[in-house]
Amino acid sequence: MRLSEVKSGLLLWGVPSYQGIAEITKDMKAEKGMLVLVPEMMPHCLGLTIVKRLQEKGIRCAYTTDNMLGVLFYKNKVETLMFFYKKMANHHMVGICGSLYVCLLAHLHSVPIKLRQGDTLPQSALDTSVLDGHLRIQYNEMMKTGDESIPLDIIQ
Amino acid sequence: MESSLCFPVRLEGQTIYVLDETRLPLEESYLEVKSLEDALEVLGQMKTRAFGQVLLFLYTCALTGEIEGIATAFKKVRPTFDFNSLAGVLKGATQKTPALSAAVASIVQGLDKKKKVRSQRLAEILPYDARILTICNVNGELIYLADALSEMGKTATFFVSETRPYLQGSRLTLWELQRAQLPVQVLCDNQAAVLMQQGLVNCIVTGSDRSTKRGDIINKIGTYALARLAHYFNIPFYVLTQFPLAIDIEDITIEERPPHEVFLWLEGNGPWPDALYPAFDITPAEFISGWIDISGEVACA
Repeated sequence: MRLSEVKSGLLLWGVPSYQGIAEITKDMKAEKGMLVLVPEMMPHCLGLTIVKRLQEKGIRCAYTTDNMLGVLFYKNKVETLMFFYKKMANHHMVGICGSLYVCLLAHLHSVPIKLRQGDTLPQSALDTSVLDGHLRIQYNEMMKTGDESIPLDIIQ
Repeated sequence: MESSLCFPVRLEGQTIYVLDETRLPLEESYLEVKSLEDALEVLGQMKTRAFGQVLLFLYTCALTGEIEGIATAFKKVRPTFDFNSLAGVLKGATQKTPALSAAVASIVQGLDKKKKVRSQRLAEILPYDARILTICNVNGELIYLADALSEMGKTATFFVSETRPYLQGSRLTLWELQRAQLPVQVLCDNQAAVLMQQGLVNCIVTGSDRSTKRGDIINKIGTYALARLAHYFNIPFYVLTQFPLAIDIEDITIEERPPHEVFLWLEGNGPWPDALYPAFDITPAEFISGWIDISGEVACA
């Protein structure tokens, strides 16, 4: 798919719950031609699993790598960010690795963020090939990854 | 220690040897290029890129004795890079040195010196404990930068964004910095914001494929996000540039690669979902703190 073919899409971050997927399906029926932008969500390539779930429900998706999100915001290709958080703690929303990156980019581009309670994927569903897939390079010097906290003032 | 990525392409007799960057870091192997067709195939498959494509262009000109036709052919394959300006530089060099191969040799030698000077200029403006976040790969220039910093009594620690989907950060930059025994860590592209928030980095350094006199740049996909985030966290963002032109950055064609390449490094054979793959993005000048030109000129916002 070419970037010019994307008019405006719903960007998804985190693991959507079944209610979340139902909401996206409903939105899609209301707005025909709506596209859901699904980032890779490293380091576990969650996007690959999630895009399959969405496609099974007939939801039209476009897959991107995480570092492509900047250009999507820059080119006004994101109408809304639907952020599936893990929990709320100390006036922060806690989400998967990269949550601050995507929420801050949305904030800086004045894109509204819809907050939804997220789901978790069973460990067996995670792609643990992580950084380089089939190359399997031994990375001794990799930054530790983990959940991230996003201050509420960025989200609101 | 000099990285083999400093000169990933060389000319010996009538053969151009191209370091196959898609095989790194597992294997350091070279492809043989003997014609324009070979060169275009290597270029299209991204076996070489960045400074490698500059060298490939120059040596293909030397090999074929042509300039303008080569620039047109190269631009069709990689539309974002400014092969026409490079052709202009080469034509200018042939005014002084009429033999094309000698003109190419003089440009290549000059470019390496200029890259070292550019690294020194950048080192002068970086902090004493430079904790540098970078993306993609600038063909050995970070090693020149670390050397220059060291000579000034400064230290350098590198954080490399993996740069999906081609992984130039984790396959190339991490590899060359580790071989040079420099302190380096690789991160998922989406970790950049947390790194900045936690104060783990105090400057960003990237290359640029194109730049304008106004200061806008085009560079590897993901650069714009780094610049926006760095701007938010008040972290200086420096760009290595060459041949800035008085043009509108939005007029430059942004190359979009085949969607299946997004999944090249993943396990399995698909079927893969529909994907987007713009190879570059635009960073407006207002998010950039400083530009270090190939001539060594430094401009700060």
